[in-house]
Amino acid sequence: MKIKNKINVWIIVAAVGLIVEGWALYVVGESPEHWRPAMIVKDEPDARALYETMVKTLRELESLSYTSNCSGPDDRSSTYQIQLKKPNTFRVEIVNNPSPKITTFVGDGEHLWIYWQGSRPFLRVDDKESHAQSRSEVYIKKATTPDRNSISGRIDLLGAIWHGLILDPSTFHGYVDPLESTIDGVRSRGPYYYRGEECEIIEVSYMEAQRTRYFWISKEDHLPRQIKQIDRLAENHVRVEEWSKIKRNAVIPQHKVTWSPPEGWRQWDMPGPDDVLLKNGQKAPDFDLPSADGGRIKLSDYRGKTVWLCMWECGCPGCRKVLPDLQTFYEENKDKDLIVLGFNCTDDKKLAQRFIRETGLTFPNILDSTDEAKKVMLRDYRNKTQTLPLHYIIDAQGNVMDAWCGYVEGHR
Amino acid sequence: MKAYELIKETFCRRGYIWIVHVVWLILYGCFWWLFLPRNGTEFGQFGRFLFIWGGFFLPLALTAGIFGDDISSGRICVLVTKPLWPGELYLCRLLGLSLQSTVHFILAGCVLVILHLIVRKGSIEHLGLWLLASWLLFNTVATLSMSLSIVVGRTFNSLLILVVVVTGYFLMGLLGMAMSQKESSGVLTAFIRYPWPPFELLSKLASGEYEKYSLTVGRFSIAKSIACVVHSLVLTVVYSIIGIILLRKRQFSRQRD
Amino acid sequence: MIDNDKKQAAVVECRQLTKIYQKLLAGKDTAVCALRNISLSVGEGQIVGLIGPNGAGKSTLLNLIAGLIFPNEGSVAVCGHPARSIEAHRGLGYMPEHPVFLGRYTARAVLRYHGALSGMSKQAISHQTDTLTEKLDMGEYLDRPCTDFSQGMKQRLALAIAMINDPKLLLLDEPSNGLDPIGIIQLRNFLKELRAAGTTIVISSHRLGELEQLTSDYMFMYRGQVVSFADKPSGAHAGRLRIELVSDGKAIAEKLLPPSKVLSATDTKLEVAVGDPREVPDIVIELAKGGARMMDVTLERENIEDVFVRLCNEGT
Repeated sequence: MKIKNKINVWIIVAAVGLIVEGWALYVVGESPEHWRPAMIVKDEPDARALYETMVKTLRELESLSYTSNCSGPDDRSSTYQIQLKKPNTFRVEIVNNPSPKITTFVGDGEHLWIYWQGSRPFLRVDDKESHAQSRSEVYIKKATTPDRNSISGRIDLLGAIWHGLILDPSTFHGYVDPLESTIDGVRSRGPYYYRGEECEIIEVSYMEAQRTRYFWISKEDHLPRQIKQIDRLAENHVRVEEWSKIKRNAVIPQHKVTWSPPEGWRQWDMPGPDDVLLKNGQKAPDFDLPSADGGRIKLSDYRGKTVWLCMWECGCPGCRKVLPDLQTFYEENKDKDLIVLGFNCTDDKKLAQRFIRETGLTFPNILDSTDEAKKVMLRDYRNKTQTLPLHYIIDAQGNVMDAWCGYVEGHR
Repeated sequence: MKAYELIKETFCRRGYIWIVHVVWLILYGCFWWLFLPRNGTEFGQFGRFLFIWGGFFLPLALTAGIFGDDISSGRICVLVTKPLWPGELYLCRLLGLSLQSTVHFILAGCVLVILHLIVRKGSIEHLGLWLLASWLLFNTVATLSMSLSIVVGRTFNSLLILVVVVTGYFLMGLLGMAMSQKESSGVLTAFIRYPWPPFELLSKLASGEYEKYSLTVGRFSIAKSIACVVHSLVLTVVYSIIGIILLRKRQFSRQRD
Repeated sequence: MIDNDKKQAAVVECRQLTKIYQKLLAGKDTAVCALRNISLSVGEGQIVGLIGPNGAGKSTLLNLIAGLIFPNEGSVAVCGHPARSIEAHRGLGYMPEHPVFLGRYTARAVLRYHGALSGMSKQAISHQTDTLTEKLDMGEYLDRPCTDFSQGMKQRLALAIAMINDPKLLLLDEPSNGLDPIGIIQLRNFLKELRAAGTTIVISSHRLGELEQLTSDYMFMYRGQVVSFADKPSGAHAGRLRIELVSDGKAIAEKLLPPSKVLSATDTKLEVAVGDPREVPDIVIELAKGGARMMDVTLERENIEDVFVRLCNEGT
């Protein structure tokens, strides 16, 4: 009897152990994090109101300065010292930790100035020669067009930063994030004490949960203390932005938001995303990659036809706008030896296939998130700035006829 | 008193054990002093060093020949004839090692905090998490090494684990690259991740991925951290059970006369 | 199976033990049968000596009783419990042939360690340490590290470890290895005291002379089998009677003596096995009545060495 009891006890212990381990493996395993429709957030009025209060608070301030630390699980971080002043001036100093090199952005209302202390870093658009020629005592000067070029957008375009800002500081100046129109819903995730401050967490999902942001909004001043963004591509990308040293409506001296180049400095015209693409007349590199319908697509199979190659991803607002237009274009020109070819090398397969189905895209699409496909986009087709959508028009002989990045309203 | 003597034995059995602890602490200090940047804000770089040295190499050094020496020398013959359940012998030695590691990591934490205050280098933001992850890994590797020591003679248990882990991860990395586009890569990843010492899971826990960089917020991220800790402890228990069973079933004899 | 005539509770009970050593992944033809169908029963207070040439299976048998190895067939019980159980080990003390200790520990620390493993309290360990130190003359080096010990010191310490928990059964493998003559005498006296106190002892040794003075019973082993199990006082052979005759020795032996008693017979010489010296007059009278003309009668007492050599020769 004693032995039987002992065996029973061991059986119970083993069963409990198995259950506990099963739970642990389930929670720790990767699969629950794949995109699924349940991730799309349904709107909650209170949470939505809090989100709008946050945006309104940002816009109604006369001045705002804060430090933003942006980091990711790759153990890298970039720190931003941000000073914003109405009506349209700002100063942003960026450091890629632990390097002491500072990249400074100054917007004086008319121009955007970008400069570095000492020599400038190697940028995405650079090659060895161009970097050597314009390495030090150079500055970039651009006309400011707040509607088109936000502070975050300019910073991302520079390509010198490890982790970009999630919440665009230009919101302070009235800038509307293009993602705003793609919000699925806002819901509350409960209260949270962040570094001793009482906050409320809200979850905002965009583009059918392809991107999700979490805001830790302080109950005191309705400004965020932490923002987390998850981009659900083939692999989930997580970024975190932490705010500190927040000063509202403090005096920001004028000399902080103006700048003029010192004697001897040269203006450098940084190549734009379009400038680094393949030039007209160059051979379009061939590729042979899996397609969305399970087959394979080879570019050279379309020799004899004009190909409109469009590189896109689900989480790109510009792409989502241009693709229906491309579909219409494709249908209108199917019989005219003109083919539209989509190229997606970043998204989760199921997510992209669902998007293709729901958007009603019938033109062929390459769907492959392997390194090989990424090399085709980044290296072969020179998308150094990783700007999407990326368009190439390739003639019947396989040469580039035209190339450009991005989406412009009314582009069609 | 039985437990006390067995626990004490884990520290006294070899003359070099206290030297190992001291050298390890000095290594942490040197690494911190020499390699950390002045204005770094992330603990990750040092954390990984602490994790591997304290969580992997330290248990290998402390468990080298922990049973193998006794078996080779014949000392086990007298131990096994005492009125002692084999599990007691195993678990008390494990407890001794675990206590050593607890003191070791507490001391390491103190050393690092003092260094940080003196030289103002680096950051100690996730120090606690890295120490916890290192301690969990220490226990898992120590039990694996102890169980192996029962079947492998002398001090070869530690060497074997070192060679197998390094070679294994290298081969798995190659296989993973070759199979990255296939469905079976998921199976391979699961095989690497779950039955073996949880290097990946614990380093994610320590670097805050389960909290800061988790794909959920609030209480759900805590669940993942807890699950990681639970898995690590369950793995330790499983390795221990294997070791105890081996100890029970093993025959100890030096002569065949 | 050899039963103990005295009908005491068996401290050691071995039934049809067989032990085969075979290397992992090796073929069956490389297997070595170390023990073959051995049965043994040792009662309380007995001192049994295991004797045999190298490879006879003595250490194997000792290891089986100690629970260090498992039999392929048969069973071993110590004080009524399976050999590897905690209950069996509670009353067991084992001394290996080549004792090894943690070098950094002193003798006192080693005794404390093993006492603790035996479940003894601090006071009990202290008391027992003092007792054993005195009996085994270890006082001089009790607080020295074991790395400084000579072989003899190690043997004494190993014996002390085996005795630390006052065991009912003591298993000693070559206990007098490395001991000087005084040490051997001390050991012998100590073991006699233990026997008097009722401790059962099983000794494996090559020092036949020592065993002869110490043990109450012998077990002669050869190639994994028990050749003979003898009580010293009532042994099968107390000696041999050498008789020189004038003639017809062979014929007379055939006529008058049972064949098992006749060790050798020629016309002029006769050797007769004698179990008890009191048999001698009866044998002489019987031969004389039968017409044997005896010139010389000599009783040669057989010592253990003689028995050992004889049995080994019989074995081959």
